[in-house]
Amino acid sequence: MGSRLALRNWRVPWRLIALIAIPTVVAMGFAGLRVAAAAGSAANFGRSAQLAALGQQVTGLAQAMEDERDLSANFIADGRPAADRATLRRRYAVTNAWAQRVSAEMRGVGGAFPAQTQADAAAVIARIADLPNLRSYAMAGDAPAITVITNYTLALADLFTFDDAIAQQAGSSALVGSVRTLGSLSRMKDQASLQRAILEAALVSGRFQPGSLDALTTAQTQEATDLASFGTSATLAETQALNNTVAGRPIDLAQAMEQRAIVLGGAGRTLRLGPGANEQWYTDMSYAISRMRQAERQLADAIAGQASALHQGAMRSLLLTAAVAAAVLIIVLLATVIIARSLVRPLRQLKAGALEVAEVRLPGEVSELSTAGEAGQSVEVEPIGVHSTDEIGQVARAFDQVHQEAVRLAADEARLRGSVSAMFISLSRRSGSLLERLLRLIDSLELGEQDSERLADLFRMDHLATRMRRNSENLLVLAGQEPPRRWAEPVSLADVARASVSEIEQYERVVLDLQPGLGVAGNAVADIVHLLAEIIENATTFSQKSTHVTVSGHSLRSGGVLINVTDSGMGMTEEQLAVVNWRLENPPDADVEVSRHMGLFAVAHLADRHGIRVRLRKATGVGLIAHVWLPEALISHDSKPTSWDRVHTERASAVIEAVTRAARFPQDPAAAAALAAAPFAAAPLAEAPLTIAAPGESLGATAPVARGPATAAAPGGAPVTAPAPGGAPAVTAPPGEAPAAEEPGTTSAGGAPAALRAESQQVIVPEPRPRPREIRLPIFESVESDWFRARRRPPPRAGVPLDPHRAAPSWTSPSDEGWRAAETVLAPAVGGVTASGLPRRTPKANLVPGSAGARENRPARAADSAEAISSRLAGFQQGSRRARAAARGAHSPDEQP
Amino acid sequence: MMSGIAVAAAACTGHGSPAGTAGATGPEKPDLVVAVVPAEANAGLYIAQAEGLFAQVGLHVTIKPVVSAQAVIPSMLHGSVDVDGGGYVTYILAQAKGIAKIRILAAGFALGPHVNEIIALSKADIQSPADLRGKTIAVNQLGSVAGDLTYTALAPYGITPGQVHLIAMPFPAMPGALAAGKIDAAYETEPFVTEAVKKYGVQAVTDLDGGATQDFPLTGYAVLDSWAARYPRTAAAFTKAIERGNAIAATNLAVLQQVLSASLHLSPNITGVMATGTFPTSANPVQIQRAADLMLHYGQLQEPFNVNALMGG
Repeated sequence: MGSRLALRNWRVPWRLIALIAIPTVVAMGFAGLRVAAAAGSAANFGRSAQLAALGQQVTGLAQAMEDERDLSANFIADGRPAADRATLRRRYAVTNAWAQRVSAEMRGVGGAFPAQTQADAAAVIARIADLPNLRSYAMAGDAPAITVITNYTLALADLFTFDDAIAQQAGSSALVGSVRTLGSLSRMKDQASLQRAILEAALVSGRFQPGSLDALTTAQTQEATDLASFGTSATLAETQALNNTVAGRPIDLAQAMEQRAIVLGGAGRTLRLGPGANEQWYTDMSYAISRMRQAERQLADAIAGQASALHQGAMRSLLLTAAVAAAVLIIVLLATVIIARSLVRPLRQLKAGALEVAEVRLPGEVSELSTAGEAGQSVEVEPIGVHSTDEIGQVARAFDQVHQEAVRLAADEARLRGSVSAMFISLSRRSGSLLERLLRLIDSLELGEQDSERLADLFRMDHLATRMRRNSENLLVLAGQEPPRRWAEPVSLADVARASVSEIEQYERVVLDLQPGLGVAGNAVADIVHLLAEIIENATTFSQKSTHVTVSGHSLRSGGVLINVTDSGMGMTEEQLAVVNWRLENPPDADVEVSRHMGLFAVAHLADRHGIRVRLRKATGVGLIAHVWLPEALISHDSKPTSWDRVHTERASAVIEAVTRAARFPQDPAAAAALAAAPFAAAPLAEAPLTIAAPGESLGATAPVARGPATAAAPGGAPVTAPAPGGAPAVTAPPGEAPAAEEPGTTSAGGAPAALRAESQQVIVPEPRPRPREIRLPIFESVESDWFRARRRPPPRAGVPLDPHRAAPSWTSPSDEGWRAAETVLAPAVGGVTASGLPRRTPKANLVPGSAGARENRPARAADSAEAISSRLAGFQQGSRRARAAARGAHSPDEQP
Repeated sequence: MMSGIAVAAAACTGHGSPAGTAGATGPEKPDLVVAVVPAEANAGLYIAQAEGLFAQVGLHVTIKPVVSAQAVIPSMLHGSVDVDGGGYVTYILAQAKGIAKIRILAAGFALGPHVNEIIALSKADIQSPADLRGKTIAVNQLGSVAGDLTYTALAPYGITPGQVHLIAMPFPAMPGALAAGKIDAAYETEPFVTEAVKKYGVQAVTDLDGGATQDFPLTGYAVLDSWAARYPRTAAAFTKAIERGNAIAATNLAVLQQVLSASLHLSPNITGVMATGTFPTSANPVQIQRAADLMLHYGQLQEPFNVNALMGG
């Protein structure tokens, strides 16, 4: 970017201003020079006009002085008669008036005028001051007329010199010419006046004084010279005007008289030109002079007017120049402002439009496209609001193209994503349906399978298939597809949790501790099951096999239900937790990363779908806690509180299954491992006597029955196990002991396993999966309460031959009688009391009718040969060893999947 | 005043197109006959004709040369001549004697330095006007302005009209008469002065353009008063054209010389050195009054004559 002051970082208006700055300054400079010149010219013309006006006065003064001089000459020639002094003084007064006026105006010639003009003005003032001296020569003494005339003439010369100064200021050649003309005329008039004075004096005295004739002829010649000079500088009109003005018979007569006087004087003769010749001369000459004065005044007025006009013209020119300069400047500035605006406004619009596209419209369109999918294929971008055809407009169009391209890319991506999703969905559905079929197949295989080993394998297959289905469902979630399964009615939270647990591999490590009486809205059940399954599986996967994963749930006072999934695994670092939590809160779009953390992604999306909040945090000790908060909207509180703790039942069922497995598949290492982990299962069982009592209660069975047999009785449910041959296992098995669990499958008489197996068969066979998704472990099914089942499927198929043991109390079933008979157990037939006071059992007295009947048909147990028993024991030993080894191996820290 | 009217009329007519001037604003009588004695005095007329100034104001002028100005006024009265280019003295006399009522339209010519001179043979012992006492002096016309001017020129020397003998003689004949000794001096005008100086070695005794007769008005252009009243726009147009021609004559020597040489059939070496007079650009009563006053002084008029009567006043 460089410095902020670098030219390229300047704003556009400043650049434009800089662009015009230099020409504007230059133009202003020239305009200023022009204005200054015009102002100077105007001032010059102003001074010229002032001098011209002054010149008018000066010519008047000159005329007055000439008259005074000529009168003085006459006075002196007359011998200074006292009678004429008054006439002379009146003449002096006239001159003084002119002198005063001229002096006053002459002082206005200040420093602004050229030095020469000032000097001339000073000379005029000095001459005016000298007037009294001149007059003193005339009034008294013996000074001859010619001397006085000469003195006056010298003084007058300075006045004419001043008139020439008018021209020095004038810039106009016409004015200069006029001023020169005026000067010639003034001098010509002065010469005429001089002739008047000289000849008058000569005529009065009757002869020429010495030098007078020469002075007269000189003046005459000078007048002709001045006239010639006038002719050269004057215009034709001025010449004509003078000719027309200064003409007439008196002038002709005066000329003739002067010629005659000169001829006479030249001949040395006395001047006798007849009586009154001097008066005639003076009158005629005065007429000539007055005509000249008239012409002079006209000329002086013309000059003053000319100077004034020039001055006004200069002022107009000055104003015009200034106005034009100012107007040009304003126009330039306006044009610059307009052009700058025309540049800046579209640029700002472009910027605003670009930012809007970048920040608002493009993201909006992209998200719209990504949600709308195919619909947004032909999105037309709205062009930026700059419609000019200049470069800025082209940039705007280019940006529109970029925008269009971005939207197109987004559309393409959305389409691609949509096709990927479609691909996912298609794959998932395809594999899902295959898996469903597989699961059904496995189920049917399991049903028909007698071989415990194979059955175990089938179970494993069953599990794997279930997990595969869940993966497949994850794909559906990833593709944004709604779950295929829905429930219309709420499902109890415990059922939901249980369903989740059933979907994971290590279900036996899960401990449920859920607040009863909570239900989950039917439409969210499938997703919550899925979500919990993912979380619980994660918990089980990332914790040691020997540890439990606790799932606890309770409603919050602030609303909703909080489910905590706690494990004791190795946990995560804070950074990982932050990342994971962020991902949970901001479900990412499907990408490669998602495929690596599919579970997390599925959880985030499922949670997002229903407004569920999931957070991971460190447990107090080791491991993690996953908080799953279900919003109130997903919760229904109307589910009846279960009368028995299904959580514990669940746990029991897990144990039972483990036991069952171990019984069924003695050689199965998995079963052995499950058994090796028995303590964890047994302990809860020990503390759950109510578990078994519960069904009894509901079935109307007496509590003591349930309580008595404890663990061993558990597998089949009280009523079922009771008829087990001998019942020994139940009785002999020390309650709360793990090995006791093994007994039914290993040490006890084969009745129990057989019964169990039979029962499990009974359970499974008549149970067609109404919803294939709902996979139930056989034993789990077996311990599920009837009412629970009834709630889930309200219309029980009455005609279907249900398992007699599981028939709901409200339904009739063939085994009802058996149940009623079982009630007799409440009051067992006692065969007396032993010596020690213990009740003595009456053999077969307390049998439930029909319950043991089948045994009659059974093949004798003795059929088992010793070899078989020994091999079975050896197998058990073998399995026990393997289980221990496996348990040891399970303790190894290899917890990574 | 006359010039003012002329200028105003010119302003109306001068710049109109020829077609337009034929109507209410054009000259009533476009075709004019101007009778003149061919001389330098009529240079303004020749220039106006040569430069097309008449055409500019919508006039078609025919210049009719006459030998003597005396017969022109009868021709005007007869109607064969419209405008007379002659001397003021003639007009004043005609008006004063009641021969015709004259209207002066424009000034024609006035004295200039060395235009009209009294010449004599240089070998004759006439050095000054004072020496002309009792001599025979030829003038172009007796009883004209020539005699008055001659008398005026001699007056300062104390020579009265009775002390000289004036005879009439045409201008071109004077130099020869001088050389032949028939006359002592001659009132001669240009271009004959220059020719005489060159041919016969005459010299000027005195220049009439000086003293009381300086810039003395000599000729002008006049019509009958009735004519002027009948053709006011024509009169104004003619005045305008003549004044323009005189202005050119007064200021443009080259044109003047060219026109003189063409109109008067003079060789360039004459026109190149001959003196040129004054061509007034306006007919001014103050000036013309000098002629009347001079005529009165020398008895040609018996009573004062106001020239305003000739100016339409």
